[in-house]
Amino acid sequence: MPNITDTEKLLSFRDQFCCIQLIVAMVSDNELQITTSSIYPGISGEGDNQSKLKAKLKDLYYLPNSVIKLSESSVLHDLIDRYFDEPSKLSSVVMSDDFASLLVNVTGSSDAEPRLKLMLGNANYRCAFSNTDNLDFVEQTKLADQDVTILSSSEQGKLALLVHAIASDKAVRDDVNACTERSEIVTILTSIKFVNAQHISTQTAGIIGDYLSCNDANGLTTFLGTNTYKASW
Amino acid sequence: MDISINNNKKKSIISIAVLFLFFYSAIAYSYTNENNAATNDALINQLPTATSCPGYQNISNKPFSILACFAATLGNNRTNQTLIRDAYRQFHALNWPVHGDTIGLPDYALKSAEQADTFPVWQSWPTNHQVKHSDISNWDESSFTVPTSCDYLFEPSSPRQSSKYTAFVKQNPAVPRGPKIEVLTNAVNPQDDIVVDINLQAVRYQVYMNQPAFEYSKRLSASSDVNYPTANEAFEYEGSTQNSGRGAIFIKAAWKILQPEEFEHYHKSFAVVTSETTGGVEKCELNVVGLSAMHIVNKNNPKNSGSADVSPDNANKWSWATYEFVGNAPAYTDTEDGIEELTESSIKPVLGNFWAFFKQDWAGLRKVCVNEKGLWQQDLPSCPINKNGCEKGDVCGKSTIVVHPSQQDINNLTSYNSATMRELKDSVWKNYRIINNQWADMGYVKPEKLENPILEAFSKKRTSCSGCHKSANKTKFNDFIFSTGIKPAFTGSKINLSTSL
Repeated sequence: MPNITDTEKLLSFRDQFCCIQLIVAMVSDNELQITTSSIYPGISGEGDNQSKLKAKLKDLYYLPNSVIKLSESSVLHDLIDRYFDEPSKLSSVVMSDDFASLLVNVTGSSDAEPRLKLMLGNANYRCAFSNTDNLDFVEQTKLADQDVTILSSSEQGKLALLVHAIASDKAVRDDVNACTERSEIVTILTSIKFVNAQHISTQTAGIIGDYLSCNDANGLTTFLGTNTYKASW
Repeated sequence: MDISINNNKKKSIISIAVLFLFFYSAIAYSYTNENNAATNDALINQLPTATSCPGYQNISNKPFSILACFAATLGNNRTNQTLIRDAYRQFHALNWPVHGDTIGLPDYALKSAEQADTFPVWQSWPTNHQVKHSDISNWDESSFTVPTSCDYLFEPSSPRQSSKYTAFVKQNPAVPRGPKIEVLTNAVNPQDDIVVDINLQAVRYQVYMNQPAFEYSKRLSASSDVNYPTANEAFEYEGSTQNSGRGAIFIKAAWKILQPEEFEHYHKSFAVVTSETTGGVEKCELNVVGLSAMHIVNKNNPKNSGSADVSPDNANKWSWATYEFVGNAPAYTDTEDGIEELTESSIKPVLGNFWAFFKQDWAGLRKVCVNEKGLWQQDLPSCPINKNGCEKGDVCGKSTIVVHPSQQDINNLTSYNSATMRELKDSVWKNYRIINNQWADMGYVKPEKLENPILEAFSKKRTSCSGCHKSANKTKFNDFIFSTGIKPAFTGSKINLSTSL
């Protein structure tokens, strides 16, 4: 049996995978994105109505759209198998209520943008580009000071799908993270196909390649967080 | 027993009606009570408060709600999606019918979606023309000046007969009436182009401003920097909640002179329209005009704090939403290689039998606009597409406009535009669509390119609202607004529709 600390850390990691799943749900389902967006102005501040709207956002939209079937995520499946000694009986995982509440509260806060960019950036980076052997992953605590490239809205959506594709498929994830040269990274990232045979542009792959090849985790986290936030929230 | 139930029902209905009347009488009283400044501000600026829009918080979280109020700012989460959401909400709120002959006050008791057409709130606002020429001194003045050449339209032809204007209004009962009519004297757009419809009538332009923009504009001097009021969120101060504040809003509208067979589809208005005869004499005619396109430019982005090379004070805090009538012109479609082309099916009119700004024989157009490689090339000298057919003073040929479709946010825009068609199925406003809403964030403008085919017609390349308006700041900071300050009053006759006609 794993020790309790590892279990907690794994559950926290699970929340970040579920966060990626939620981002992809909002990018892929336009009506879902519009529905959640219409709730955001009402959840700022306090009061009964805000509480009801926050519960609605969390229970009707964030939690149900964060569910990951383990059969569709070999990365998460492998993690659970590795850290629990017995074969997993789980078929799916869902974001914790605490994490979903945090997402909702941050969304309603006056400094929602920088906080969400950081939260989503950490989730994106960790699920797609970090070493999964390390459950003691240290998250970024602030966004990079330098300006990041803001992609076109269609490319922002593709970026969210790319991160999800890497974070779901162990073989793809291993291949991407084995690359160290910028050119190799660009080649492999542009070869990853998602819905309707879409793939990210060479320019976007080049930006990620620049960050990865010089181990700029803070810059990449900021880039991923900023652009996936803009695509989904 | 039945009688008893019916009586109870009657009592309930009467009670509800009394409560309803009481509530809206209270609103009307609030509006006229000068001591109630905060309430007036919320009512006139359509801010979502318990007085102006009770229940707003319960309804606004449902997507596509059509509401009389709209948020002051873009909120805490600013993304392209929220910009399109707010473009939708401000469009429907500002198109809310105005209350009787008041200026800028929506009729909160009416449901906008149930009106076949409206005299919208924004059309009652003062125009740029009025402010420039000091035509009015107060926001709520309903008087306006018409050029001298239009005087004859408002004079009774004999003591026993009504004026031409009154007779014209009676002949056109489907045209909404409000405190003002349009006074359209400008047919030249800022690019010095004239857009001409298929009936050989030039489009006319007008700019309107809300109360915060009006009050600020009155104080403008030509030499000082310009910085229109920016919206603010509601906030807590000494234990109490302070309401949000509306920022400056400008609306620019393009009006087309309508033929009776076109009335069905357009938002319509009565207008006096001036033009020059070949002899150089100004003539004035009374027309029914239809809205072809509009911008809503709203200073609602206080969170844009600038970038490395732009200070917070000089940051672009405007959003630039643009809309058009769906029957204006066909649109290019993109091939798989991303090349724009016209197809025979894409030029079929979507409303009625004609486009308003495109009337071409398909085979003939192909001959002059398709190059030797078989590709559509609108910059061929022979091709009339998106070319200015005249300049001021010339005799103008009809324009041939083809829309460059938006490349960004397509799914989101489609959802909101479909919602407009669905929610306003009994209203002419269903025939208008959001093109997109441009905004600035950390030095980036999104979407990068945005153009309205009528308000920025004939652009050689894809253009950008804020990119163009940046040049207004050249000699001094002008807050991205082209304004030449107050000019001498123009000559003409003062009209007040509620008292003089």
